Amino acid sequence: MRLRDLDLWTVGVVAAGAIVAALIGAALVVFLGLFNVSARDGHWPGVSWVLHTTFENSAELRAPPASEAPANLDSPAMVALGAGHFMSGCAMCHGAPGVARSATVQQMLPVPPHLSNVSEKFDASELFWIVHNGIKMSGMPAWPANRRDEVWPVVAFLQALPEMTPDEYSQLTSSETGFCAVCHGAGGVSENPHVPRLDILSKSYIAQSLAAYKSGARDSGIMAEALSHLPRAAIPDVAADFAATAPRGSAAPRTAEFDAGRALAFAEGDSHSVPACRACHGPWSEPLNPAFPSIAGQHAPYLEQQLRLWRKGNRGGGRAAELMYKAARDLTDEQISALAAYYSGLAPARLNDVAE
Amino acid sequence: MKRRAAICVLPFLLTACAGEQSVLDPAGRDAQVLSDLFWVMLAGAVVLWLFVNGLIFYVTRIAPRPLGRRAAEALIIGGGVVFPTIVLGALLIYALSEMPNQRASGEGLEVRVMAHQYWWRVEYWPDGASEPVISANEIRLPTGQRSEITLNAERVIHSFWIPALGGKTDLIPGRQTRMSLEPVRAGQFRGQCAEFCGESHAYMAFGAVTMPPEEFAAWLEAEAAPAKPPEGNEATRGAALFLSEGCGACHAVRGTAASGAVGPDLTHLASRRTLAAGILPMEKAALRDWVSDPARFKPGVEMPGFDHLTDAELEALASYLMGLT
Repeated sequence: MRLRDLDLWTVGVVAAGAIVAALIGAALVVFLGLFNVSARDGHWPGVSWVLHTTFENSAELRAPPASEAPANLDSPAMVALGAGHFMSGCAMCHGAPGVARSATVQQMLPVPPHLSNVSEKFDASELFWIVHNGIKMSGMPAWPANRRDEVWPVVAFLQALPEMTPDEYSQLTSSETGFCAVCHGAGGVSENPHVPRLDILSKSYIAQSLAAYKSGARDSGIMAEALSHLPRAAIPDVAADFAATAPRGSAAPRTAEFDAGRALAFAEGDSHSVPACRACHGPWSEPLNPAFPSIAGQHAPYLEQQLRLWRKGNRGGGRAAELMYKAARDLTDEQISALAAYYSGLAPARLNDVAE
Repeated sequence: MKRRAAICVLPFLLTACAGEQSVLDPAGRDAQVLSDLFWVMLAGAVVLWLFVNGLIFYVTRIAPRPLGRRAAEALIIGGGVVFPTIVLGALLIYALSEMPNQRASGEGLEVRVMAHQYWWRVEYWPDGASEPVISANEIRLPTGQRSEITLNAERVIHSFWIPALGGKTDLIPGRQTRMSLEPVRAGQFRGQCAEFCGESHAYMAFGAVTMPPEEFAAWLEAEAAPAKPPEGNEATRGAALFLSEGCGACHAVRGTAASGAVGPDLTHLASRRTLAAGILPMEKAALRDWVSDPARFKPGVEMPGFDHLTDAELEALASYLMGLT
């Protein structure tokens, strides 16, 4: 029989038969357990190469443009924040400077690499994509939140890794006063401008925020991971601990930007689009509900980032979050930095003590 | 029988022609002109309709025969060219002659209206005033004089229309427009945004009240005064809540710390006839429901909901606000 004698009907029957046979074969593998999933023996030859090459090319294709990376990616503060999160969420598999991977981790397939030189292999955008998305079938989890901005400190840390000594890493990731203090500082008085200081907040606000992080109502991968280590029942105690520190510090010298922020916070001028911040956050002549956070003396970069999240509409928080979505909706970048300059310039104080 | 029933229903349809928001029940000089224009046009249209149909009836039923060439040409040129030119020309001259009055400038009082999504900021600038009396969602005008209305908008185009008092004028962001109104009779009316402005356009109305000049002056003086202090325990608690829960970020209550300018001035909220720009009655229950979840009544509203407050807190707030007469 020559090829041209094959009619379409015969071709169809043969193809359908082949598909059915393949499906039956696949079903036998799945239902009878014929494929050996043991991690002990590794992959068949070539499979590791196919999987790894697919992963690398996939990350390269999907990485965001370099312009999304913040300009301060090499700042010590970004590296420090990344180090804190790496210690709590990543080091258990990847190890760290002076921290070896455990024997069990080393039996994973694939073995999570020690990342000391990872930044030579992947650029910042690719690292960002890998940390935010994770990698299917490799054991690498996705970032435990939707937010993108807080992935960059981890990228900053990964880029600083090649030159980081075990001593430096240990300094960045340990604290005599407990786990929270690694990032938030002793008594919650954070020195890292990307990490909020907690001494100005009330017990009820801290407790409400921790509950929101834990439930996912407030979107943060760093805090979600940190709170995995904290039982819900312990939240009131932690809140009380931080609320016990009385805020100290003085006001910064006034600048033009401070004055611009003040005008916004007091709703001076003809603008009808920005609510007066002080009616919830002070300084205010009447008693305010302590469920609102004080932001007097809070770090400017943190305030700016939070305002950008509010404006974008995905910050999340407590039950009154809608107030801030509506309030921040129309803020411009200039207004955000002016407001941050104003409130960070005030003397650190609890909500009902905020004064100029 | 059916016909008789239909005739009985007809008067009910006519009730829509009277009332607070009707061009056919004018209470202002400009609305009177527009109404007269409407009736003149309608009368003319009726006469023409009868004439044309009469002619058709005549040539088809009474005298169905061909016209002579001369008669036909006279009918076509006379009825088709000369007659419409004269009638339309006369109507045009009449209508255009009314235009300058519609744009006449006001004397004395100037009312500045700023349209927001979806409410109205209202400022009264009496002659020679250095600062305005600020109110919202209600326009009050003295009768017997022409008041200047200055219009502006915050985000999108709206249109200002009180059918019982006059025509409509667009409010355009970044550009000032103007009109004037001369109410001739005291009464309570209703205005409405007349240009689609967003998802709650249909819920963007306002009350309009016209009063004799002396009454208006007394009202304006009361409106300029600071807010009354709360009376009773619940209202006092409500006043404290108003200042502790952030309401003052957007709303002003003159005489208190609340001085926000994003939302309506609430200093004399309860003296207005309606709540939420003409869509809810000024009642405590309506106020409570509105504060709790404004988007339920007005989709896309800028005011956030305060349903994180307890029922007792919302009651207290409503009680305080109802005291702001």
